[in-house]
Amino acid sequence: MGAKRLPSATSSRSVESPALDLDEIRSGLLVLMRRRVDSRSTAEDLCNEAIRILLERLRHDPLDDPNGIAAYVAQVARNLAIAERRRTSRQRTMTGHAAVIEDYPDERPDPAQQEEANSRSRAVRAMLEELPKARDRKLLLRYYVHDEPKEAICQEMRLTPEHFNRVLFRARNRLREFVERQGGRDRL
Amino acid sequence: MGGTLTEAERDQIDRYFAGTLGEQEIIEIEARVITDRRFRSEFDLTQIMRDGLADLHRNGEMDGLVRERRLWQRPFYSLAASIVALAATGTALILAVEIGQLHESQLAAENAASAGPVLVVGRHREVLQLAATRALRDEPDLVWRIDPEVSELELHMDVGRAPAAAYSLRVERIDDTEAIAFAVPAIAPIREEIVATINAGLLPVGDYRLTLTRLDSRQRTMVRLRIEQFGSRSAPEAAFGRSGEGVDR
Repeated sequence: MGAKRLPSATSSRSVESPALDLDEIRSGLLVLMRRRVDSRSTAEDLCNEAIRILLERLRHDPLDDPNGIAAYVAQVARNLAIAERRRTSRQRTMTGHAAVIEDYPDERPDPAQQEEANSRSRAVRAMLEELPKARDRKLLLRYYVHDEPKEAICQEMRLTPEHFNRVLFRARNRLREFVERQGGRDRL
Repeated sequence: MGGTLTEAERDQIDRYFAGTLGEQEIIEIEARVITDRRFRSEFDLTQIMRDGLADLHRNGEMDGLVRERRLWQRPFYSLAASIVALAATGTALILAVEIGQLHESQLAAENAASAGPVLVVGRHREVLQLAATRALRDEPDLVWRIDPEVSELELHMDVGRAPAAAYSLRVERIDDTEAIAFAVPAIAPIREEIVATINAGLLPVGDYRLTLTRLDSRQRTMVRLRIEQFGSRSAPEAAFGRSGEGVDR
């Protein structure tokens, strides 16, 4: 079955354009959405909603530029995620019985989310175990967790930028291997 | 739609997650995540890296990982050490099995070798390891000179540390008659010895074949015994270098 093409303006205006397909848009949106909302199912729902809004928009105001379409739907997704966070926040401030219930939330993580987190940790731990130097692991911690600037890390650890990039490159490649070994991104 | 990402592109992804990009750059990055599969893959991988490291950091696992590991804690050396340990264990097991087998074969050999008779003759005790001192050709393994005062012979045969439950014993003449002088169909060992008492009158001067047979395996030990008059001297005795006194093993 071929990918579903967007009803972009390319057909009506007879302009040859690398129109995006819905599966590609959905994959990209899901990657963006998963860093904005915790629940995978909520992320999928919001992706569907973003695509619905996009299709609605294209019916009334076609877009030719694929990058314009992508930028538009990404913006829609961002707004939906913000709205979702606000909605969740509002629910937590309700009064009455709902508030009583909210006072005793189930602190346990969603099992699917927990499994994702476990798989992710396994992959990252395996990657770290293969790094030969503690210094490289420390570098990753400072760069990716503490968000310290590359230049500051290089200066303090007495590394050249090339060396720094090599460490990142190696770490990313090893992590990619472990992620693929665990069944790909869908499991993480 | 995407070849290999440049360092600048990777750097841009990192800065997106670090929150140091401007609004326009953010829009561009997110649009590219949707349109460029390879870029999306790298973006996603970066997110896994950040989230995974943050999880480990939150759980306190990073503390141990950022400390310099000692030689044997490094994966290569750990693996090598594991292989060496496994090899040592395997070798030990093989050796243990072989030693066990060797021990068993030694026991069997000792059993066979020590199945020779230990003779207590009258008031004189003679201890001879016949299995280790087999005579050549037609010479007897053991020569016993009869003392006229002795009326009974007490025959002790050491059957080793893994004796059978029972043995048969037969003493027959080595001459034209092949007559059986003495026979016991089943006799149990006592403290690793077969003990049989024989009337001296049943063994006149001459050569005898003494056969001890394990009843479980039919394994036989044969000893040639020569009976002589007291005072005479024979070749085997000279070979043992003693006469009329025991040699303990």
